[in-house]
Amino acid sequence: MLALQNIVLVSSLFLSAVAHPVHQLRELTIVGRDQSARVVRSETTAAAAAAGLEVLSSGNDAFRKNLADNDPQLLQKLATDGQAPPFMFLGCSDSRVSEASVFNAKPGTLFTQRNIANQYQRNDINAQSVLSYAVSELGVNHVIVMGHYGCGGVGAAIASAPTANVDAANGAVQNWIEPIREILHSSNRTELVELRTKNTGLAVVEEPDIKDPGFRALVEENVKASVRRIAADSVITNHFALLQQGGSTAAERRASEDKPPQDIFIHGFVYDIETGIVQDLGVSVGPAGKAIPSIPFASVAKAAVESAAAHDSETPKPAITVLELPVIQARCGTLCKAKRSLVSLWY
Amino acid sequence: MPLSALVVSKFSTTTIVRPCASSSTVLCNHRVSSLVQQRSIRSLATLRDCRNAVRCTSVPPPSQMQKRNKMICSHKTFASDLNELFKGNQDYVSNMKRDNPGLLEQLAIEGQKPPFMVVDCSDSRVSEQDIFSAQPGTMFTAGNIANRFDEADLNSNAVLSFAVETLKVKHVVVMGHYGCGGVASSMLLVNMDQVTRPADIAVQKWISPIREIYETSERKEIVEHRERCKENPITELPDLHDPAFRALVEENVKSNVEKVAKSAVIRDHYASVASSNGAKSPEEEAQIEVFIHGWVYDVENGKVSDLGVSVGPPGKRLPPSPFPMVDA
Repeated sequence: MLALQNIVLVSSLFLSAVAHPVHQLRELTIVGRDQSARVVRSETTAAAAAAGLEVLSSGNDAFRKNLADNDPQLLQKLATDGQAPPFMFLGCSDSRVSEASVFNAKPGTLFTQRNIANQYQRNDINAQSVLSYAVSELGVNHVIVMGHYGCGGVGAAIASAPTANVDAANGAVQNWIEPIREILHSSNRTELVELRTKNTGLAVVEEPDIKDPGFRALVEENVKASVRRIAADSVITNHFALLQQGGSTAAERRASEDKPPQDIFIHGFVYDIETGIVQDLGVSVGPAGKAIPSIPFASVAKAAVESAAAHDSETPKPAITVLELPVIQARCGTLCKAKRSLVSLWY
Repeated sequence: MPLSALVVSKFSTTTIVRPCASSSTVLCNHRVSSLVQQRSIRSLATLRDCRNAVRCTSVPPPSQMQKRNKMICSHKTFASDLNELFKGNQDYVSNMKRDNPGLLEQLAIEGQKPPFMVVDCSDSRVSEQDIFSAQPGTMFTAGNIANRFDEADLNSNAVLSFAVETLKVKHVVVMGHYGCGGVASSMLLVNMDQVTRPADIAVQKWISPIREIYETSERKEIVEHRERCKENPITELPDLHDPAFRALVEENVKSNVEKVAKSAVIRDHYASVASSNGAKSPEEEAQIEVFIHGWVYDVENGKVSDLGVSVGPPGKRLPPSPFPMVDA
């Protein structure tokens, strides 16, 4: 009996040693005793909290060492010259979708706004100031809106809103995701219509599974809505108007460089958190008369068809899908033509 | 295939779709004479870039092309930017498979449980996962200009709320950085009546609280700068090493730490910690404790410093900082 207790005590000590450093409170156990002695709570949590923070300092050391070994001038150069990112990125706050990692991008690449469910809302000065600075001061070439499957904000918009005990925190999140609820309620997309029908009449709707087609569709529609809103925003329409006047004679020039306003393209991407692959929603918008540049990311519609086939046939899914020939031809065709009608600012 | 004129110039430009020599896949090539007159064609790409864009590896080598013609694509800058991102994403996927197989799937199935929330600047040089070599799933992030938090701003308030209430993060880190453009802009005198572009209005509105800090701070470096500017207002953004600029970056972080600590979300949270006082199990208590920190990132060398303004639940010891304190 005592031997068994010893084994149990020793194994619990082992388990606590390998548990998550932040979430696990260590319980000191002394072999041979009947009961464990608990360490004073506040000291333990401070120790656990400190252990969590140390992960960051060793990570920062690794970051600096890596740069010193591989690209020692990079940071200094960016600091002295300032940033000149080609991209503005609107992404989700989700801890699994950090933009520089997902694109393996060096510092200086993506000027970023991150909020819950990567929304661009009218009257949101936070996101609007980021877009403004990116377009008018930094002169980015592309604005990328990227959503991701399994987005908690979108999932919460599908689930029923909490009715009891709505505190300040709940209220803020519910207010913020309200526009996504509106998309769910008004969209004509098949999957969303089905989702609506399925959920009407239910007293409580839970957050759906990551693979639920309605959930995935709403993630995509949410990105498209933000692309539309950005394209319609006065910052962008103003910029496109300046381009129409003929860049070199434009009265306004960007403050940072003495150059005329340049083309900007807005794209909608979606990130698959299961595979790490970024896909294109095919809703890119640009200035009137300019062809959209060829987008190398696989398109979502095509990938959906392929993955359905893969699931059916049990063959391994290709990690990256190559652009189809008709798509290539179509895109090259658009690039070759001298005058192109605007890819519509549809609304 | 129709040949269309890409550019009007002394030398004709043609677009030719030609069958690929080896696989007879039809490709589109953009061919322009090497002596293009029209300057509105922006940075021209080589065949390689176009080839990469369409991912066909059986394009005939350049030596087989007509010698005097360069292969160009008028969208080189834009297309090649996207190609860089695409290649980066491919590298990320393969690196993940090699170094952390199964991690992404696990995070997708189990959901995220980040120990940290970070409020950092939109600046392209400051990406939190990079700077801390963190794995996916570590830091729930609010990114905006000059790493501001304001309860009245629904955007940042929603991020804090979700992080603290639902994700139960242990630490909220406000991280500023030297050389912050938003902070720099707030030091420049501006007449709001003259600000007319929607872009400028948006940025000025967003940084107006930083302006207030600049105008009221009692910190020595900032006071000195204010005094000097009364007689000679600066017309250019301050230099990265300007002591007043660096001081204002730090004061901005401190102000945002304070705003986070005083927000209803955190006050509710700390109130529930205080009221539990031993009634909850250690696990439950650990879950609802959250510490708030203010750090600064140095863009020149990648180092992170602590401003020493951390806040925690009343009566709880603060964890020791992993980063050196800023000498203030």
